[in-house]
Amino acid sequence: MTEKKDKSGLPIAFAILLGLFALMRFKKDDEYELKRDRKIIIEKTEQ
Amino acid sequence: MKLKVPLTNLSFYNAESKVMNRTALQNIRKIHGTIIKHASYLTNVPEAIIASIIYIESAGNQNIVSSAGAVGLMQLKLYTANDTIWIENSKTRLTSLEKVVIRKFIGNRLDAILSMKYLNHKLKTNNYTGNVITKNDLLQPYFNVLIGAMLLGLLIDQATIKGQLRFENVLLRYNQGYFFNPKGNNINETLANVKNRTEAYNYVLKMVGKNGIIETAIT
Repeated sequence: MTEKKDKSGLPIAFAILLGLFALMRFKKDDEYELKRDRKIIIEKTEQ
Repeated sequence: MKLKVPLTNLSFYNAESKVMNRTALQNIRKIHGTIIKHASYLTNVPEAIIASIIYIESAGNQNIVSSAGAVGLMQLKLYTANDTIWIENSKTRLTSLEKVVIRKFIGNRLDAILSMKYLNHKLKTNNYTGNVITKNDLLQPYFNVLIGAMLLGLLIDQATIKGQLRFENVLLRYNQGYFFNPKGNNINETLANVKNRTEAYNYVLKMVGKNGIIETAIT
């Protein structure tokens, strides 16, 4: 008798991968924001 | 975000050197001011920081090449320049305007960098060397300062934790290399950990110590 493989977990795994990918994209966009919005004010330390 | 200088009371320069440094910085601004302004606009790194790095690295001599192979105003090595562009792109930090400017200097070689899958990726387009940047590219002041400023911006963002900029870490990595990992919870600890690396230790003091170059550049 041929054993039928359980493939019910596949969509969940796919969704997790998709989520991770979206998160990575989001993180990358963050890096761009970091660069664009960076504002450094240089001041002399009060002595 | 505020960067208050000096960051430490330790010093490399005295008050007399500060006067000389001020004159030298003014000369650099006079000669390379437009380039510094453009690089600052493109990368969002303050002009005072870019000018200070130019002074400490090359004293404003755009043709200088070190024995270690560091080239031009911001003393960049060929691989450092290549890798800075690649890292900026891989982190989606490379802006369209930066791409346009870089392409103006290195043409289609930009595509060779962008097609690399990882650092030092040896491809036919980079003659299996992992790099397409030449000494002549870096001898062009505009290109040199733009890439140097891009690297500074990258290091600044990586050294900013919860809005606090550990600028000494930026300087140490610019001086010792991208993969250098400064250790210490504050500037004094970090300096103590690089005391045996005299060049790196002095580099930090020259820039952000008492009478340091950045302080001179803003006053």
